[in-house]
Amino acid sequence: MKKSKTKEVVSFSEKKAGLLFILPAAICWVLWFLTPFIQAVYLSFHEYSYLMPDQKKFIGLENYVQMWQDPKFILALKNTLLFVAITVPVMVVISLGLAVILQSKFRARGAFRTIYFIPYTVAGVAVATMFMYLFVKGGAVQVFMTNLGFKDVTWYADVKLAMPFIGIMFIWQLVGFYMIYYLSGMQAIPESLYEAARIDGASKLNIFRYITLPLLKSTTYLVVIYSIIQAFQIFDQIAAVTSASGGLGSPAGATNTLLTYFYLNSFKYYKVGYGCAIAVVLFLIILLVSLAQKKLSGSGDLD
Amino acid sequence: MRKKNKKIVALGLVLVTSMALLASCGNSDKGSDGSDSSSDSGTESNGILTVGFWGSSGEDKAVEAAIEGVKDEVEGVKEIKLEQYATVNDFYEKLPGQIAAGTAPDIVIATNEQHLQLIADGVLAELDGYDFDLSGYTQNAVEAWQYEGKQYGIPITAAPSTFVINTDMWEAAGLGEYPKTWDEVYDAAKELTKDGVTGLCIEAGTIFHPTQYMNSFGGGWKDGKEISSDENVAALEYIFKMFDEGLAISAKEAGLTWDGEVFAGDKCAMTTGGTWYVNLMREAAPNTNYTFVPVPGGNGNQGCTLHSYGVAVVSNTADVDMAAKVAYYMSRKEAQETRAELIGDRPAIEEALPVFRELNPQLVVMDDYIGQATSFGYPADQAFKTDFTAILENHIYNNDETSAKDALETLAETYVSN
Repeated sequence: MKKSKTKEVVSFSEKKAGLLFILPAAICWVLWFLTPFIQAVYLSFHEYSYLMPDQKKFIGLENYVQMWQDPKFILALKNTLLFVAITVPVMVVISLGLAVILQSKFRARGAFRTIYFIPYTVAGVAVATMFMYLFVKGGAVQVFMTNLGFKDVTWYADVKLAMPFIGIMFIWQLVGFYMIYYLSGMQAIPESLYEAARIDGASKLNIFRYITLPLLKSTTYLVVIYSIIQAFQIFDQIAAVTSASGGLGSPAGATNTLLTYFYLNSFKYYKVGYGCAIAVVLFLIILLVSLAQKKLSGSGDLD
Repeated sequence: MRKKNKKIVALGLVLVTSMALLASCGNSDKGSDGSDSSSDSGTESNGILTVGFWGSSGEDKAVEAAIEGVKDEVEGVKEIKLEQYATVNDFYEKLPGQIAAGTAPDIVIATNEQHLQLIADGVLAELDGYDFDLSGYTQNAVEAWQYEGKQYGIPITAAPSTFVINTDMWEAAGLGEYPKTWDEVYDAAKELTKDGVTGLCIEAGTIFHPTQYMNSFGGGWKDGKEISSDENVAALEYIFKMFDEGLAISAKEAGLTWDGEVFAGDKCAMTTGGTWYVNLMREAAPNTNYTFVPVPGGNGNQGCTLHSYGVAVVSNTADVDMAAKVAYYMSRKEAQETRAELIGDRPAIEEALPVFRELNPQLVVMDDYIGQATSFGYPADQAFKTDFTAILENHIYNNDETSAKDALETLAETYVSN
């Protein structure tokens, strides 16, 4: 009886302390996420410009209807979905591959881990500047590409190559970060499982396929979900590459994503209501993808 | 106990959320009933005004010089504060939010490139009715700040666009007189395009440069009233032709950010430009010889754009009358002369021009053709610029075969205003 009473008192204090600890973060979340989000949803049903704040007009679903008839929105949506669909799997595969290689013991493995992680610490604008220098017509990468028979063009000036250029930058910058995720996930896998597999004569490929990969399911879930969110929200690199010449989303809208198109509408064209509608759609897409991913991933426990 | 804790947490979150929502909806409601927190009628001005501006080095000193002595000249002024924005983009992106929040500057120094939306949406106050004497100002600069017959800004600079030629390359190619028509530019570009140099730079990333061609062909956007005119179609066809034949290059193709870098980097021999080329070339290519000539004409027409900084009053300021008088004071001759000395801007007051001419003898040629310069005339909807740029970029970077006529007619369907 005494033990259970003591347990309740401790439990209540811990809960109180826990609540107090999360309260500042909760308040910040409410003020800086929930409130603006609710305002954005509210404004998405209005025609609203910051230049004429007193002329806000309720227009119902008109912004949403207009959106699906707007070829620029459709192009931005297509660019976004393609970008996510291509960069996320590529990034997962490369980061997993790097983690597998760097998990094995060899000299200077620590140095390589650092080298692959460094791009993540560099600002997006700096990465963009560097890549623009490399991928310009006559630049280092193009000299290599022309030797392989490709045309000598400036990638970010070519309508077909501009988005792949952004994708390459994006993957290069983030692959080291997700490699660290996988490395920490691999360290949680007991060595005894590998030993048992080796004793049973399993090949390296089978060990990877039947032990490592399944037990990295929860890590992979995290990597996929975070990289999907980051891919949906790519902005810095596009702004750095395109703002200088041609404007956000150039050339000809080839690098416009839902987020850049939201930015253009809200802050360049002053069509805040329409911009908010785009932001709401982006949020719903990310939410749906996250929920689908969670449902498909199942559990990846050691049990 | 657990249920009680959950209820406490839930209640706490609901209270905080409600407070936050009430605060935000309170601001919205204030806006929706027509009033604004910073311009309630009956609010007295405290004599403190803020001037908002952007610009490169020297701009802040030029503005400080402009406001010097204002307390003695304009009754009621106690203090002028300065608010400098990092870039022009910063200004246009932050100003609307400041207007909505009631924290916008009282006076702004803006240009006539993007002012139409500010005027049409009622952001800038009318400046008629104060009997400001603008007779000594360059009249097309005064007109550049008018809309539907009303004055919305007082010009402090008036600079026509110009055509810049690398004279070293020109003479090396054995070319004679500088071109007066775009056909002559086409012929010259054929001679100049060689050895890694393209004859003409047409910066496709902004609407500024193509608009020079529209105006010079006798067209122009006319505040959105004429987008697909025959003259504009002819101008766009010319631009397409220059790129199709490899006689023009854009900054993006050259791996650079703007036409000035292309010209200073000796990647082109000719480009449209403006007074800012003086500082650019002094810093980036001091050994390059170049000259300014009038923007060539097209199809027997002549014309270019007039770039003008102007001082304008934000309409929701507490004391529009005081702000208007301060704006007029800031545009006086001495202030424009100081601006010419510090930044190299061409004054809008005729009497201030001698200072500019002495400092920039190579730009004296502008006096001969400033009468042909007209305002940019972009439609108020800022999306027009993006869509027009997309037309150019699709043609240049995507080999799109849409004709100039079809492209401009499609644009006109969306943006032409009556």
